[in-house]
Amino acid sequence: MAEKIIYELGSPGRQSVDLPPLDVPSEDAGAMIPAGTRRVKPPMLPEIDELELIRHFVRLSVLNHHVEKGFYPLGSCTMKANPPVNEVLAALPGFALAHPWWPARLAQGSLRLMAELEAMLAEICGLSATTLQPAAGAHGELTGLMVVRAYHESHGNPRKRVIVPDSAHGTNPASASLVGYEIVEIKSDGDGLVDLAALERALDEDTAVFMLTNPNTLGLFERRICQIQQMVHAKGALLYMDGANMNALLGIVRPGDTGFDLVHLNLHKTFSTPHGGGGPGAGPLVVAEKLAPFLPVPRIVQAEDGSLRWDYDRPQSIGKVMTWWGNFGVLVRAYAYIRSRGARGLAQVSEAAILNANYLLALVQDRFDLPYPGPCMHEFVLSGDRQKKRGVRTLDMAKRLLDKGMHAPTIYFPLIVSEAMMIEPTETESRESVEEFARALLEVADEAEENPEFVHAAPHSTPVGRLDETRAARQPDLAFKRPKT
Amino acid sequence: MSRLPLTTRDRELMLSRIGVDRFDDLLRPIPETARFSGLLDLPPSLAEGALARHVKELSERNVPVLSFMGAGSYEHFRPAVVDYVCGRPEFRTAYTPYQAEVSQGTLQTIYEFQTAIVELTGMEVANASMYEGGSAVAEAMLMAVSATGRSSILISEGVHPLVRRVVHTYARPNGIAVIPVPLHQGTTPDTAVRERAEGAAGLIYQEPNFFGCIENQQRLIEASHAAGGLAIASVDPLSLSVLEPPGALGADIAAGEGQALAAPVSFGGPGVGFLACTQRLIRKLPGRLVGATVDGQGRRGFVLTLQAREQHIRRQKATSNICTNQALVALGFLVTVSALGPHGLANMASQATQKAHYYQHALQKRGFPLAFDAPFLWEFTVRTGIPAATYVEGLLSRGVLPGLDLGTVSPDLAERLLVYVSEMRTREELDRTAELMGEVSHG
Amino acid sequence: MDEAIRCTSEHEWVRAEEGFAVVGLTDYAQGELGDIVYVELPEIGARFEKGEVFGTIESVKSVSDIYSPISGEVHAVNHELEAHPELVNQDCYHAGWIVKLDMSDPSELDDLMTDAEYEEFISGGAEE
Repeated sequence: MAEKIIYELGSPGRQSVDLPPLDVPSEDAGAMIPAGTRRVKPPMLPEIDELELIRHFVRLSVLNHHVEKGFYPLGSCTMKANPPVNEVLAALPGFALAHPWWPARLAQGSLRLMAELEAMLAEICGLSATTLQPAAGAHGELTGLMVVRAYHESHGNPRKRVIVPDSAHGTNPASASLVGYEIVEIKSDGDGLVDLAALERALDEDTAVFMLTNPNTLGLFERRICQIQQMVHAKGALLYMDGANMNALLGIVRPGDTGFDLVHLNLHKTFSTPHGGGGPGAGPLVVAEKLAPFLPVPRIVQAEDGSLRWDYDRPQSIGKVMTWWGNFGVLVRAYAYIRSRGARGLAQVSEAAILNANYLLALVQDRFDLPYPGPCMHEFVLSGDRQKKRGVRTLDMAKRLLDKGMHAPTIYFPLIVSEAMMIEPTETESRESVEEFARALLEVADEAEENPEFVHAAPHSTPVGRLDETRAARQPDLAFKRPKT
Repeated sequence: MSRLPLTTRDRELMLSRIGVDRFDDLLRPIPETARFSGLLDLPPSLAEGALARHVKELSERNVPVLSFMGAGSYEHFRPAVVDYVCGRPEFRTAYTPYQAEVSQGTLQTIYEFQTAIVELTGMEVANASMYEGGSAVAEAMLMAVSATGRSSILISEGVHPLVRRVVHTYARPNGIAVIPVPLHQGTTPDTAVRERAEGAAGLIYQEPNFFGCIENQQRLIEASHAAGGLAIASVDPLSLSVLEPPGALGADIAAGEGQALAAPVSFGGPGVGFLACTQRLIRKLPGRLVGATVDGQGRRGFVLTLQAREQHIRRQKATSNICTNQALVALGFLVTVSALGPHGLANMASQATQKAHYYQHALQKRGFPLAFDAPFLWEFTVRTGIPAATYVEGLLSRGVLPGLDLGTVSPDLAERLLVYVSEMRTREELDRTAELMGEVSHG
Repeated sequence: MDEAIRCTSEHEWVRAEEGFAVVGLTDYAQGELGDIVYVELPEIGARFEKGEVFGTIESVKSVSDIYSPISGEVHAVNHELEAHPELVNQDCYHAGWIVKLDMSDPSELDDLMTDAEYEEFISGGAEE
């Protein structure tokens, strides 16, 4: 039985919590809020007691799959474990109660944490300056492209075009378009890597930036990165790294060392902050020295006495991409993660992520098409073409995995692989857990051959079956309305 | 630190199954010149106990004060049940609900959040959340530009100065002209809107505005509509339990920051932005939307819907690049408004308003008159006669932050203090602070 | 398929009717798109050049631009599609029409494919 909508629960007059009585003399409300301004019809909000409220959310919560329940190999999303201690630290009252506009001397702890995190992320990327302001990866991309534009403008010409490979995340062209650039998409070569000839043809003096994910969305390292950076820079263009896959590179490759001028990171992927059912995340942007003047204001600077303060005096800055300074609570968790791992520990993270991915690939690769052979980095992409011939599509196999208590991989992405399954186990899964997922996937491959209809009808044991997406889109029901009585 | 699971034996078994001798063989696609050969220059790793001590010490370098600072980030009573629910790993460690069959918990809570925003704002449609208030307002501007095909936007100077800065940042690369509308006696005159509205995609105003003043929304909306532009309201969600919502007054878009009802101030984030609009604008609305539907057996269920607007399908033609936003904080918002209910919210708003007026009278008696005549709720601006910084300095030495020195926002406002009174302030705290203010002026 | 229609390589059809050009999406196109959930219609009176985008059509997982097959001014739009976009799936050549254009140059029709040519075009793997 479906859980009721919270607005269907409770009863008029119920309330979970209340405030203490007013302890100042009460004034006439009419004098304070003039008629015409005062709300006439109260909002329809839940009227519910606390136990019923808790039960509602607990009953809803158990309908979710999540990292702390089972395997979550969602490619490109890095669903690694979230260390519990970080939750405790992010909630420390000294941080939680600090107002963003406090005079700097009241907030030296928060500022110090941010300054140290900026420096650590710059070191990890081999670049020189970081802004922590962007609230998510796509927000970091947007910030990065604004920085690119401002940089070229300072040289007299904003330029016109952004080049992306056909394997790029959809956010890349969407972000580029938001800052007024045209998008040129170049095809990947037979190995799934940047086709240097296609890049050469696309590059000219109007190219603002080449946006590249490395390792790319096939889980492959762009092995000609040195030639790529030379070609891009020869035209005066910049090289941008989408850092969604940074979990493969910690302590192994520093993007700045390979010629990237700017990188956005996803702290909720690589740096272990919880995904929260879709946020909050954080998408810091890390840049080379020449781009630092364009970063959002304010910047944290150190005074002579060692204290930290905000600096707005950056005439070339793009401005602000968020009201305040960033998703601070997320930054605390990422800071704690890096401090707990240290340099060696971070390198071990990427090594284990790569080892787990290659091991999983070895366990399953005979049974699926693998358009771009490994070794892979931290993830790999299978094709369901072989199963499709039996009438079982990748969507069906994904749904069947749900029956087996696993989350599905990222499917139908990247767009250049038909029936794609993008699989990222992460380093926090044990060997046994990787093997268990491999067994589940192989079982699904067996079922696809022996009983394709059954797989096609999956899932069979989830709280709801496949939902009617056409109906949802044709007759959008996006908010509950109380039936008229 | 928490340790990784792979043992030496695991590694050997795995490498042998992969068919390589050494881990480094897996890195052969990386050219030697690209490899980082050293060790990252990071502080040494800390075990869990030492880490907890270190970070706690950092947090204690922040100085707790009795705060009368709001200005866009508000401390309110937070029912314990909010963190209790949001702390559940089922919500915290899931991701964007791509597989609806195993994400009904997250999906239904988003639907319930969308409903709460629709109810509070009086708009017809709300999305699953935005990063935060400033970028939500900026995205609202892009919606208006796209919907009208016009390339300038009016923005009231009563909009939070940092939000205005964000709007400028988003406008600039798109060649959108941002035209400020100056205030008169603390509020936005509709005449000033009419003078500038010709050819503009719309007007952005804030209610109550940055200085705490209640605007005449109705007239502002009419002024923008008269010139064919949209009306975009930036609103405080708690105020909507007592003030007429923008949707009821004919606004086209309502945007804002929900932190006040969702999360602690937390140095500015994470909060939760929201964005709501009329049905007519639904395909211009960025971000995720959750809709109700049914499965094959007719059971109610929820899915991400109208996804064709989004970046993973439309790529460069998408309404925005937004994907992940602030789901867990949106859940916090939903739990807060559910725990308080319509009466609890109205009571919170009313108590904050009563206390603010009580405190304002107390300040008035000690020689700090209101800077503007307009009605206000829990935030107001007073004249300090001398630089407000003097009062900030004077009271900080006694552990009290009396408000925001508006001189830090604009030098010509140096003798203005923006004061916020939470419903959590006690009468004793209000009396004592008013007294301290008086002492400084006589001291 | 209807004898009197002409088609474009972008999979629109057009049919001259009482001096106007009625425009819709071909059966092949609706089949490729799958369940149509929304059709964005132009304003009446708007002018479009041949090949210009005048609207979009959305299925659950895709969205495509609709190009004007000929130049002209929008005389009427099919408001039925606002509530019933599925008409494009069910009856694309009749009840599922999209716009009616007042043609500025009816001779442009001659440049378009006949239905036989279009059949050949789509069977030739036009998209590849």
